[in-house]
Amino acid sequence: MAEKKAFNLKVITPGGVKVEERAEMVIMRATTGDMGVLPGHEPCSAALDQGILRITAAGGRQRRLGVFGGLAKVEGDTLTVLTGLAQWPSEVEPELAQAERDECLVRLREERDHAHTQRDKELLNQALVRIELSEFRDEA
Amino acid sequence: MPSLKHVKRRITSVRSTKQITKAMDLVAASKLARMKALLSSARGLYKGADAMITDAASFPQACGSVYAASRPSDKIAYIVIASDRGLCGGYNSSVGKLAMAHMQEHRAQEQVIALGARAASFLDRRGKNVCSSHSTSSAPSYEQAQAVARRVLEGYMAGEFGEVYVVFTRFLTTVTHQPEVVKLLPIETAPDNAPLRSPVGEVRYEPSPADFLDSAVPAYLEMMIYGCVVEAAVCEHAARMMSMSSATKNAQEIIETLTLSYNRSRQSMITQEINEIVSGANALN
Repeated sequence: MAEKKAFNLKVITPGGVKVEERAEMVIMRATTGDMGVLPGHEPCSAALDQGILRITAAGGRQRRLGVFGGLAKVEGDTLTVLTGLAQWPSEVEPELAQAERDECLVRLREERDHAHTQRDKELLNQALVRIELSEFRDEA
Repeated sequence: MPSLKHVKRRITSVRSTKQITKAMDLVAASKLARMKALLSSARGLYKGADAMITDAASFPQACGSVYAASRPSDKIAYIVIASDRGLCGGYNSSVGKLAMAHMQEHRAQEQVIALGARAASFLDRRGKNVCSSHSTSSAPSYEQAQAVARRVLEGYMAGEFGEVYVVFTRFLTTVTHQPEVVKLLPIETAPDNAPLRSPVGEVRYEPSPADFLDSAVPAYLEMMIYGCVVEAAVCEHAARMMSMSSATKNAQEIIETLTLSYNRSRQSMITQEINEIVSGANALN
């Protein structure tokens, strides 16, 4: 069987290159909605929201990576994702994420200024992504 | 001529100073190696982000972004990155002097966000408005950069200041460091009368370059500030290593000179005593 077409995926974090592999398809959470990238995608840039990057690696293996904001660019044969934090499901502690979610919900119920509320919403979203990600711990 | 005891005391003192400078040299060298590894990943991050934003901003349509429009305030915010501690040669003062020169050139009211106690005290002593100060003694963290970026964005959007600059030292080689001022906000866009670029073969921005900038600039600011903090940290450790290495070398030279002078004094005392004994014996004979 002919091998499926693939492109380079590179995820760069402050700690170094998190992922560098050939991928058949990547679905990411952009600020404008979910965005899928297949081989031969036209050059484009997008800002990323907090969400799960779904990677179908060359060979068909599926993996999920939590990406907490950042930027993505498709250029030539490469998708580059720049992010401040990226986590595999195995790196997430579900109990901690649930505790974070509960704390955020308590803080959001209190009346606070706009900046704090915005920050708490971001943290809540982050905790929710982590909880969702932790459901795929066996996948890796 | 100083007494033997005095010279001996000075040798002991310089020797203990040399031990300290040598230890600091070794610590700085090990930290420098760690920071250099961090720098290569930080450069991948912030240079990539910078290239994306510069490309999006080069479209004339990008001027519709809230981060490209000029703000009503004439105040300028400066993020000045230096060290918490001294003993690193001219590293701290060269950043401070560059920030001062830029402030004098622009003659606007400034708000300084200082990263590093030395930056805060340098500018505070010269009457600048240091509104917040953060420590840089631990390894650079992305969370700290996020906190500074959040503070800057809030101030910028609230109209507290109309421009944001970062003053830091860029690492070129272990011996060459370049203090620089980089404008972060507002994003420089193509002039209104610039010819429209053909979208064929260009990077696509959904729904438009201005909207892309609106959602991408917060992440861009975090990455740029983090990159500048890491560049500055590498320079700090390189500067400290060079300064401590030359202090160790100087201490060694002083020890050698003092030891020579100690030995000469001791020898001349011995010679004098022999002379006295010989002349005493001769007198008796």
